[in-house]
Amino acid sequence: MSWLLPLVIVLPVATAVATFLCRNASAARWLSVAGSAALLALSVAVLADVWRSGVVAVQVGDWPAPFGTTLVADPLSAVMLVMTATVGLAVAVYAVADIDARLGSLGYHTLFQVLLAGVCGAFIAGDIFNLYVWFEVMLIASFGLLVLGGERTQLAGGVKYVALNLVSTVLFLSGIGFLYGMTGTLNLAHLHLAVQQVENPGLLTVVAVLFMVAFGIKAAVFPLFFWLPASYHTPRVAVSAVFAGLLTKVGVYALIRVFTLIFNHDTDYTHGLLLVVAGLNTAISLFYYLRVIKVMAIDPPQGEGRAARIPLVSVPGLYAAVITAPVLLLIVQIGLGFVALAIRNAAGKTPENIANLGTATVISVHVLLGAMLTVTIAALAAHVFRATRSQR
Amino acid sequence: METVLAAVVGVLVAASVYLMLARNILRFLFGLVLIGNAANLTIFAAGRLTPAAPPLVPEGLAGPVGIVANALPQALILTAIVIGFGLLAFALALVFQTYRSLGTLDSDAMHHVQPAVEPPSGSGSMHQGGTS
Repeated sequence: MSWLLPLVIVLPVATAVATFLCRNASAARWLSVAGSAALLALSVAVLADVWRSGVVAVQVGDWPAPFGTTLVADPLSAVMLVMTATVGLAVAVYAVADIDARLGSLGYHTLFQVLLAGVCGAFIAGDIFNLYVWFEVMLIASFGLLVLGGERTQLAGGVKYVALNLVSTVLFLSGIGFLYGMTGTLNLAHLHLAVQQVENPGLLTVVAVLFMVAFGIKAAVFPLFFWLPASYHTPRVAVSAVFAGLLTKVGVYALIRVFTLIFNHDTDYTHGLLLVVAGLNTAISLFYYLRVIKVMAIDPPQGEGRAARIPLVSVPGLYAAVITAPVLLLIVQIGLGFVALAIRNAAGKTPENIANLGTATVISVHVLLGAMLTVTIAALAAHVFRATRSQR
Repeated sequence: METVLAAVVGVLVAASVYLMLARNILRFLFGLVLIGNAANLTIFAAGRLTPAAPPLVPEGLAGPVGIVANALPQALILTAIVIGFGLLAFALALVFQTYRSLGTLDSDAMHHVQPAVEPPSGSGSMHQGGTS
């Protein structure tokens, strides 16, 4: 059933083309929904396949493994695919109401589907240069989505987002160059073996840190996150939701992949560093999260309290509160904290264990996030209730 | 030859870091162009520079004969150039549109412009909060 795997990329691309060619605004919306639903079904089928028969790999163009491009799905990638498709479907349905005909004709649905293709591609890339290419596909679509409509705030935030992500891209690319120079291979599975023969582990650590910074910018970890609060709140909700739900996750996924599969030579340094970053992130995001909850649920809604400064009691204000940058940071960061712990524990163990541990981590993080989201919504509801009552 | 290439990469990165530290985002973009090319040259050097024959497989054989150049770095760089060009074209268009819309290319000014961009929601609601 390995023919299913390339379809995960082909389907969103086909949907993107269809929505691009479709001149009817409402038809394009429903095409996008249908495409996302089909993607969800497909990714569930891939997950079922991986569950039954273990790792599924496709050699593109029948080139044998270390030479050609490999698409590969292990339990971790399959779970990420299902989550991507779930978020994608939810956003596509939401976009039916949120994205008007004007934004639709500017290409929202097309860019959204291209973004889904990029994210799915990144999750099943079995080759580090292929991973880079899918990152770029995703990035260019996200640039388009972020500044869609061209509001002034969007442009100002978009410049920061574009600039920092391009820097991260260059770091990623240089890291790939160095890694190829040392090992002579780009295939992720082959790299796992090839790095053990590298005679200069110091240089390998330098490359590891290059990757850590590059993916850290993508994942918006604590010292590298500055583009996120500047840009995430500016576009439409249907765009911010994709960004929060998908883009940073790909950065986290790439960190897991690279630091379990390739950079295992000096775990005291690299994984220790990851652990420190993760701890800082968890602490800082918890601090901001609790502050947002306090402002929403405890502080007086009008008058002297801090809540008065947050114009929550309007529909756009509500959306803005739900997707406030600190909460977003938290969603990304807590995940990263658990992931780093998992990676540190898993370093040196077998790839199967690591993949299973990664899957378990991702699932448990999302259960935790579900609980936190419930608390957030409850706090928000309390805020709105008191605000409307005090207005009467 | 590797030494020369390493020196070129060093100079390019130094120049691009200098440009990218500027407040003017157009200069930042030019810095990005340079550092992108430095990354490409790095890949090229990492693939080993050899004065060898082009990697062509003669008809009827399974592989090339003799020592041939490494074709993979060139394929990688070609991909990276295409992607980099697309991203740069977008970034230039974005910067131009930003300049037309905000009237500045100074990243600090852009940061300070941001809150003032939406006076209706910010100051307006505070005013309402005071009167109600």
